[in-house]
Amino acid sequence: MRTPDDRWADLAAAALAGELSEREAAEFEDLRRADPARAREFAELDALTRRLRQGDLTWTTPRDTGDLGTRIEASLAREEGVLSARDAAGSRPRRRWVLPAVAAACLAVGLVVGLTGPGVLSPVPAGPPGTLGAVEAVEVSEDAGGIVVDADVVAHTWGTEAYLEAEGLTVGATYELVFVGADGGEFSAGEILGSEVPVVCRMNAAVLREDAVRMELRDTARTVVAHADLPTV
Amino acid sequence: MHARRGSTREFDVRRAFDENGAALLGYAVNALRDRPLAEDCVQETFLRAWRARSRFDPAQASERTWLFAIARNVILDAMRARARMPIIGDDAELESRAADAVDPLERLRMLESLAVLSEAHRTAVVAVHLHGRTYQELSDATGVPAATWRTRTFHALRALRTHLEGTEGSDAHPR
Repeated sequence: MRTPDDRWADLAAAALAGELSEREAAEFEDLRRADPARAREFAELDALTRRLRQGDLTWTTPRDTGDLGTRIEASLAREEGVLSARDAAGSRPRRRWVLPAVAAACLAVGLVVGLTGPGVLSPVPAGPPGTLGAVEAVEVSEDAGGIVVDADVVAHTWGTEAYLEAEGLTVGATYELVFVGADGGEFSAGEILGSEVPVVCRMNAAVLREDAVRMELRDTARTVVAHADLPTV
Repeated sequence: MHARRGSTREFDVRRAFDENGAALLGYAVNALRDRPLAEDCVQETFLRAWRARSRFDPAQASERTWLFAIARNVILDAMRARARMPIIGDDAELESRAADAVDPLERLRMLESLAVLSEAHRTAVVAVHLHGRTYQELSDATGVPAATWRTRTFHALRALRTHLEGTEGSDAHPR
């Protein structure tokens, strides 16, 4: 059974869309004039529909969320694991940039989790240096003045990854991150440009963690501006 | 994954995502018109929520309201970062962009309000007031009577107005 409110809703919706018939328009006006609250509400909704039309708005409903939920779970599990490992190691406080970097790194973890079923998390890798997938804090020494460099490394089956943050590098200058092997072999992890803002990046070198003993950040003259001796694996 | 908070219900990320993920993704996709970036924003939203979970007070706002407030800031950050990217174009292009410019905050507010509507309510508002379809066209396409679409649209607009009043009355920036 339709109530007076239903009729008001019916007519007001038609009025807002400009679809009232002549007879409906008369009925609508009677209802609006008879009730100031309804008149006020209609004015507010009319203003709202104008805002909708003026707002450069479109709406497309996404097909689905895919594996996004699983990736989020994995990234949070990874973050918890990293923080726990840091706490246990009593190392210096985690810099704020590392967390999003680790979250981004977890995309690959999310894909693995996706294969095992939603909601089932892979255990967070942890362990001594060289443990695959575990984030290993390294002590970086700055060899050039005015810069601050912080880094972690992660052992992978395909090589060694560095999470790097550097501040104070010469703006626009090129720097190379190099892993050095026990036999003196050098393995580039890529290059970065100095910036006015902290440089935050992940870099990979084609050397297994157990074969790397040192990490160096060098300028184009091959001068080492920061280095870290890596724990023996 | 669970976290303690000062309420009877824990912040369960999987449950929170199941309940709000699709709406948040819809909000981000339509705000940014970039699916990969939108997914990054939703992920960042849950990361920030996870880090701030101890500060969440369900007595002040629902979990959904809280997550959308975080998402609003994340999306704004993404929009600002994108705005700093250089745009290739001539003077006419620049003038056109300036003329078409819409207050991004207003656009975000409206999209957020659409995102929190039920699917049926959102369909009604989008079809009639964004796409300009008539109630009869909607009825023909769906088999639902035009009168039902009318009342549904009216109640959807009411819900939209209520949400807008809530977001516009809040100065909170939970990051």
